[in-house]
Amino acid sequence: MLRTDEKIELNEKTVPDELARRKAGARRTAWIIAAIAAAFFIASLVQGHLVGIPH
Amino acid sequence: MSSTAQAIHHEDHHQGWFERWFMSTNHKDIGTLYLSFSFLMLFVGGSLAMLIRAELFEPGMQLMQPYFFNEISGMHGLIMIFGVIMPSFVGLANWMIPMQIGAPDMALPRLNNLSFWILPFAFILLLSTFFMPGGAPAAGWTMYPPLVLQGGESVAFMIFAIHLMGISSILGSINIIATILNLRAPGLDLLKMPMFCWSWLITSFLVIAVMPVLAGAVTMMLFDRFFGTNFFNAAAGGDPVMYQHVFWFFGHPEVYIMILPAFGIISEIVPTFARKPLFGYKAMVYAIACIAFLSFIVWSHHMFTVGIPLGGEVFFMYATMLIAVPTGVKIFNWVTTMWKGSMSFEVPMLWAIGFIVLFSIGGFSGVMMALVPADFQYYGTYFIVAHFHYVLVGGALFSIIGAVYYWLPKWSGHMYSSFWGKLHFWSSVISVNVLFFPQQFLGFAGMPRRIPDYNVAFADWNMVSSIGGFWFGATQLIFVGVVIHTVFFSKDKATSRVWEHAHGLEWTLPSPAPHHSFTVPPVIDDSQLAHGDVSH
Ligand code: HEM
Ligand SMILES: [Cu+2]
Repeated sequence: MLRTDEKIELNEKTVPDELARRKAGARRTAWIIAAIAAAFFIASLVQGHLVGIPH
Repeated sequence: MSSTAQAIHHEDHHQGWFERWFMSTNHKDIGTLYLSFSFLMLFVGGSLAMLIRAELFEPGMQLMQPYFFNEISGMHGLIMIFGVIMPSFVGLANWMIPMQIGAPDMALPRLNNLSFWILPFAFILLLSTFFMPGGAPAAGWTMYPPLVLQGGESVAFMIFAIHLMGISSILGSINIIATILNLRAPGLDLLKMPMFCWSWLITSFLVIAVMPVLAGAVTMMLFDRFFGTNFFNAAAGGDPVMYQHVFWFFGHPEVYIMILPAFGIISEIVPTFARKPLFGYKAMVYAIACIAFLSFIVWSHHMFTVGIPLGGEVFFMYATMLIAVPTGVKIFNWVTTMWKGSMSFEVPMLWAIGFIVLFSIGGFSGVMMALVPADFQYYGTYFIVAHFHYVLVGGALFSIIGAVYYWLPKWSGHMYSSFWGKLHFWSSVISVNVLFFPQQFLGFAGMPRRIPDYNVAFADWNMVSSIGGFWFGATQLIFVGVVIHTVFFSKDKATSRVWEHAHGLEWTLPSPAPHHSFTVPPVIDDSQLAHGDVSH
């Protein structure tokens, strides 16, 4: 268990790498969520096509 | 830490005015842009509301052509929903989420800029329809075909505006999810997050799931109107009722998009002024998740009278009533947080208590409308109007105003006059009831919504309601005064904690908060967290 000042020091040292790593993670998350949104859009059109258009 | 933060604060101020506000990638500046934009739109939408209440002040047609009445009532709804409530919650998210989770900024700052700057263009498109031949779309915020398709060309502008607003809120939500999932300070587990972050995390998923469905619905409408398809055209074998299903599959989760962040805000304010940790933190998180899930399986309660099979009516009736259970959990927990607390009634607390009472009134009328046989009487009347204004004005808007009174000292570094804040509250809480309570009587008596004229039998309560409306509208000018005074003129410096019992990372930063929140992740000290299963 680190003391608080040691934790702060550790945080300071690892900031640049750690932030870059997390931002890469954030970009990955963003693409996944965007894909989900696109899927919902397509699904609503497909549903409209199957139900609404006379066939 | 505050010294490093201050150094960075100064560095950033080399930006010019244009660069700072138009090319900003800073979560606080973008938050300010969102909040300022929605504040402006509040007065645009509010002016339309004043016109509506002026026309309805007396029976008969006084001020406008009936078609113009239809234009302004639909536009009022669209502006208030997409231009006021949603963007102001996004603005609050931008300001507070990085500060509450110990992050330097939002995870995707350029995307953040884009999501904001789409909005003004969307609203220029939408508002420009007033000046087009044939006028603005005049079929209400629900835009049901075939009625909406009978308007002029302006329907295309409305559809593109909706597409843009949808893209804006989807991008905003992507950013919020990415930020919360990736940028929490080490040691800040999900179940230690403040309730406001939780409420927005869940709300973002609702946005992601349903805004594309709205986009799908209006895209089909666009094709029906301009490219010869017949999705909703009954004459050619299409199905107009399907539009209602698709719309309300979006629409009901949408109403929760407009209330879940409010739940988060109230869960921040109440513990501070009750001087107790939030009662049942985990139950609050699960209740929000549960409400979010249920919001996907209740949409047809907006369509009880359209002619759906009896089994469907029964299913949607019970599913809707079920939502009252997690909602009740939340109200119970706020009240229990206050129970035996050493309460004080500063301005934000007044708005939070006002929220709890007014939202409960709106929630109760919701349960009444969930009863299929009863809803045959209420559907399409002023009772519905009263319901959703209690939850949206007394609920969502009150929470947003409360949030501004709670965090404005942190944002601006100045305190506001609590006299004017309290006057604003008491005048609002009385007038909002004068405005909307009588609409419940009118609805019971059968006065239809969205109609510019009415039977003389409804005259008295309409006049009362209109007086309440003008009073509520005028009262909001106090808010403008308080905000401008605090930001630009107040000499009363705020401390970093601002409120005596405020807990959470945002209060460890100086007031005004530095340009970048936590450049070095803070070390999490459980006793400083607002919530979580920690005992103070
Ligand atoms: C206990 C919770 C709630 C229940 C049971 C409930 C139930 C209902 C029902 C059954 C209707 C349809 C009534 C009709 O058209 O005949 C309705 C309409 C509506 N509700 Fe709620 N509601 C609840 C909470 C909320 C909340 C929290 C909001 C927004 C913040 C909201 C916003 C609306 C709106 C905007 C409409 C009208 C939509 C329209 O036709 O234009 N409701 N509600
Ligand atoms: Cu609903």
